[in-house]
Amino acid sequence: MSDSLNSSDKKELWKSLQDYNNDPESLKFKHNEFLEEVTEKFDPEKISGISRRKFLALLSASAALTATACTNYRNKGEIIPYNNRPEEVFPGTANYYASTCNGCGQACGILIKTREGRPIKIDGNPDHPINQGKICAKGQAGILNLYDPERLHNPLYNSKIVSWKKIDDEIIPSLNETLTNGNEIAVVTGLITSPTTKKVLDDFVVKYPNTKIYSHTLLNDEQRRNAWYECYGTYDYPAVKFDEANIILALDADFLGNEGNYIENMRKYAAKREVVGKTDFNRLYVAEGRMSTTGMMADYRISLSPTKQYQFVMTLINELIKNGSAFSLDASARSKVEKFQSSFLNSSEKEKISHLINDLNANRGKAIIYAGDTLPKEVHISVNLLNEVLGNIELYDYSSASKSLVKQSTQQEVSKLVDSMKNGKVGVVVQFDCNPVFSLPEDYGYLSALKKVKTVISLTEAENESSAAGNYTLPINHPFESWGDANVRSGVYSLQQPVISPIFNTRQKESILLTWISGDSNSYQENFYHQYLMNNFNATIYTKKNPLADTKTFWYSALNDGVVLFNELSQRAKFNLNAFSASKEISSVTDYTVHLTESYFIGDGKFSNNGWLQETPHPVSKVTWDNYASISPKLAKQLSVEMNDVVEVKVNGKSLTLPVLVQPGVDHNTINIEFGYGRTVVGNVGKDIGFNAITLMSKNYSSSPFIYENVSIKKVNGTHKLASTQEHHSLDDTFVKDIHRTRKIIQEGTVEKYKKESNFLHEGKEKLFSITNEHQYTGHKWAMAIDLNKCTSCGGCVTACNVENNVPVVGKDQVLNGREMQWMRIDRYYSGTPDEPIISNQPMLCQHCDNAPCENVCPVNATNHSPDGLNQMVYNRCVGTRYCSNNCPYKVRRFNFFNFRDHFADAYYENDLTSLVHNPEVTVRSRGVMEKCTFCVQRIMEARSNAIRDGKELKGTDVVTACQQACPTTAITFGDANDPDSLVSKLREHDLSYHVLEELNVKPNVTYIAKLRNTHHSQEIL
Amino acid sequence: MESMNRNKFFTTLGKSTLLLAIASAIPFNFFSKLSKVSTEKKIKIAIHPSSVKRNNKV
Amino acid sequence: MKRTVLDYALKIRLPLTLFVVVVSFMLTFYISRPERDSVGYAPEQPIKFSHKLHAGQMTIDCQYCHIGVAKERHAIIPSVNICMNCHTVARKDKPEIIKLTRYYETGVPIPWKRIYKVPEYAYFNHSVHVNKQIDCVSCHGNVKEMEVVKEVKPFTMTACLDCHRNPHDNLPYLQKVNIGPENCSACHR
Repeated sequence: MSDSLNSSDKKELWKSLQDYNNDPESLKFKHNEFLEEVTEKFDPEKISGISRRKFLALLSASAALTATACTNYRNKGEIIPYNNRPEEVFPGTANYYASTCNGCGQACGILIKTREGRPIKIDGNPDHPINQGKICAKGQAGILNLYDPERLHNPLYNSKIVSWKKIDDEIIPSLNETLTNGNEIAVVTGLITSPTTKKVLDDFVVKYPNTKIYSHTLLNDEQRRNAWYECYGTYDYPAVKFDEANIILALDADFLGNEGNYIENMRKYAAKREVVGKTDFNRLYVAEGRMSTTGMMADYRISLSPTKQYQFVMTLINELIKNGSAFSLDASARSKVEKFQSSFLNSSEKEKISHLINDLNANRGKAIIYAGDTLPKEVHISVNLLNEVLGNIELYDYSSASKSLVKQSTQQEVSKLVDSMKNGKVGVVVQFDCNPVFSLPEDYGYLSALKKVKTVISLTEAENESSAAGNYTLPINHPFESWGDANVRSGVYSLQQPVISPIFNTRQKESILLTWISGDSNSYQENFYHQYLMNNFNATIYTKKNPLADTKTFWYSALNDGVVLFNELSQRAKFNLNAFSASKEISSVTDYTVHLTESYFIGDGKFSNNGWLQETPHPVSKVTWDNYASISPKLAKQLSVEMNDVVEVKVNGKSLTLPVLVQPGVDHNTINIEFGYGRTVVGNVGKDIGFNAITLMSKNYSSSPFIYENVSIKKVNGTHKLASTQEHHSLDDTFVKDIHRTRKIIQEGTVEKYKKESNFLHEGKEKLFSITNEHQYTGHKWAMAIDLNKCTSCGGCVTACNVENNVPVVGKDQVLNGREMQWMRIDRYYSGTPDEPIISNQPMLCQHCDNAPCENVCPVNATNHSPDGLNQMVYNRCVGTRYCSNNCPYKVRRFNFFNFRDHFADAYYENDLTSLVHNPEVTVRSRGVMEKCTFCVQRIMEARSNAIRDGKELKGTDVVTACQQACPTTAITFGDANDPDSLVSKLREHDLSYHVLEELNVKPNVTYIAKLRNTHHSQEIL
Repeated sequence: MESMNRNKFFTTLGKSTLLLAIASAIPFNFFSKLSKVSTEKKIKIAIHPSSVKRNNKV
Repeated sequence: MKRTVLDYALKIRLPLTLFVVVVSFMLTFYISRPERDSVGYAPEQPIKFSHKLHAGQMTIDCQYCHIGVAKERHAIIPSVNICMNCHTVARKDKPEIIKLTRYYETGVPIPWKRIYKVPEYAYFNHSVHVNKQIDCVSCHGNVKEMEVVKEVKPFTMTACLDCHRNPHDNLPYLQKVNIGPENCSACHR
């Protein structure tokens, strides 16, 4: 403000006359900003107490709180019951339905447990005489295939969705067209186990007489059947009474692991491996080129290439007829046998072989020689003769013969089909629930011939290589949505019923054929095959059985039981010696041999998309998510390869590149590869997992389609990490070698030693003492006993536990990091030398220790002990410190490093369908919590609740854990240790009982019964 | 000068923490679900009307 | 002025620690509120079903509708066809019954508002309690007198454990009653 009192300055701007005149009043105004009294009368206290800053803070806080208070915190959601409750559904209680399993060709009886209409668990049907309440790992985990989101939802024509009516309207004319132009209709199927399906196929042939049925399945026992036919005149061979055999010789026969009905075989074998009561053990000799589960159980194991089996059997015949023969041999047979002088008797295995011969001699009529499905027909004929010579035919069970309903097509028939396809003589190909593009050897040329056929129809559950090569892809019902029956053993007719309505727009495969047979697309009904099955049942089974009840009652009772039993005793035929004399001689080779065998858990590729089965560790190598070439350490050194190195295997010009696994104990010239892997058209889980061993197979095989000579193998560049759940240096690393023996994790003995001194295991054991007072358990005390004599490492317990307890699939990458989530694992230990290892299996689960080291280190007390002896785990309290897993000496605690249900690796679990497989009684764990075996506490609580409801006392035998229920040999016993009459308390006090890592004084509640090997010595062979 | 560096470091740290915290709360899952073509209708589970259940528990 | 250790402790660490403690307490306090504070929660149901009429005046037994309560873990809210057992003829001109019939005919299940809820990670078993002769009113209150069902007790774990530890005082009508289980896996499995 210019202070110009000088009136001579001309003012530019003035506000008032006083200003113009420089009135002193206006000057005073210009100086003071405020009027007088404005600042004096200013009283800060009188202004409101809240500053701007404080006001804003309060505003935001109250806004936030209001927002939270706006939700009705008391709102607990809704509870929605049924509108019209189906009579048989009691929400919260499970229903059981009897049915038949479709996992392999053995058709075991199953009970499907459902909750609110959803199947959640599969168990064996106790009424079925063959499997008697047990089911294998494939049957257990096969339930995940029902909830596979990558199943086909709708019928497809050239990958476009069409309606069923349109499909039928196009196909029926195509079929009729072939009748007029004389082309063939080729129906290619897998293994037919159902007599009614066979009848449908027969009716189809009646309607379309130019149809030819071809049956091809990769895993077949054709060698054995053809041999039996030549020897005894029938394709149906009897079952073997393994439970009455004192000596068993298995020749490349994995009868305990993967051949025939191995559930039945395991049960029968274990019947002579009882330690409670008298020890009347059998003795198992195994001569094989690879390491199988049966080989792991052997008392004496001989490494023998599969090409040498023929020589071996002939040598045995030669030696044994010297001491007489129950079957008289003519001159030509004798001369054939006498050529095989005892070169084996002077080999490195001579001691074992002389034991074998002495044993077979001493046990004529009470022993059995059993050859494997993959061996050539000639070996089977020789084995049949050997059993005749020794009188072992007493052990053939003719009341239960294995039937063949539809014979497998021969190599000539399939070649003829392919030629017809190439020449355009085949109008329609129907691929009836099979995958011939994958399972037929490439040199048939099936795929290229298929492309020349105008109409290719594939009936399948999920898209596979064969349906991708065709034009019509028709989705069929999953076995749990299907009707069916099975008659694979004489005297046993089992029924299959659906427990759930078809989830997607699928149809029963037989109903599809029936629609085409009727010729009218409108004739299809939902219960088409149901009616047909009932009619066939009434015509055949009802009339045969002739019961007092009427047809409807009998049908319902048959569905309730699941099986109808008959007396069907087959005729015991006489051995045809000409078959033996005329059979081709197989010369052994000294070069490398490739032996192709069935995968334990993937089958013929059917279960490739099943995460549980892919992740179940291989019984011998403990490898998941892969197959490999299994070679001996000597061969590995020759090729200078180690595990994870890649080799190229060449057979007759075909080659396969795959990783190598060094397997101690296998024959030096045998390369064993499992097929079923390497599928290309499959869901996200199985895509490009493993290596397709079928590329090495050929339609022109010399002796057996599974054994190939003329093999070259060499190392190539590259590595492929094999995800194994166990380390592999146990035999090389001197520090850990035999640590399982020195630390007494595995304690074994021999039968001889046990007979002499039954207390040998407990001799010299020091008594442990505690510094704290021991807790007294009144009431129940849950404990488990595992009999290592019977455990074959089949993996049934592992998969049963996975299904029962909602254990997630983690994928190969996480298994490589050691983060597999299975609560139960089967440890496999080697002792001895890499060429002659002794293998011990031990299922390991949470030991529920009385002095658990995991319990007192949890900072939030999420794991503690229950008054009935269980180590509890409270998931909602766990914060994920992982101190408990650190302290566990058995390392049985699994941590959820990721939220495997959600947002994990393409979010496989995160869909509406797969989450339906979960057991509602068990918590589904999220990220960051520790989990472990709970001794199936949900089953214990349910049994307790049922006992209170029925007014009874809870007995230890009322509770059956999932693993105990699944074990086919009843190796696992569970019960109340405080009950002196229970089996588990008897086993705890048994002479052969021991605890793992007992010296730590953690007092585990899982008792192991030491394995006794039935050798001739008291000392173990180490 | 040092305090300027220190200041900058901690502000960067704080800003990135804030950004990460906000980013983790964004529902990417929800957005990807929206973009997916939802051809599937809701899965209906129904008991098969002709199945016969076992009367006695195992 | 240089900052001493005490300065840091008092000005930074102490407030921070207090803040963390207070916030975690408030968080758990707030999250457990539905169980703790919902005493008196009596929401409006989609159909004005009156227990006072059915269970009280007409003395229909609890287990006629809630069929699972003595058999299994869940008590089972009755499905609509149980209501229609009587209401296909009884008072079928009343507006609420017309609403009920419409639910039944269209096949839509009734979305009842849930009042008694034990969190999902605790597996509560009704039949064990009922078969030990514990009466419904001990936990659910005198439902026979309720027009609209109301929550009368807090459903926190403390409430359950109080009764488990001291059953004699909480259940005076039972002569012989054992102490209920206190171990975790009885409920948390």
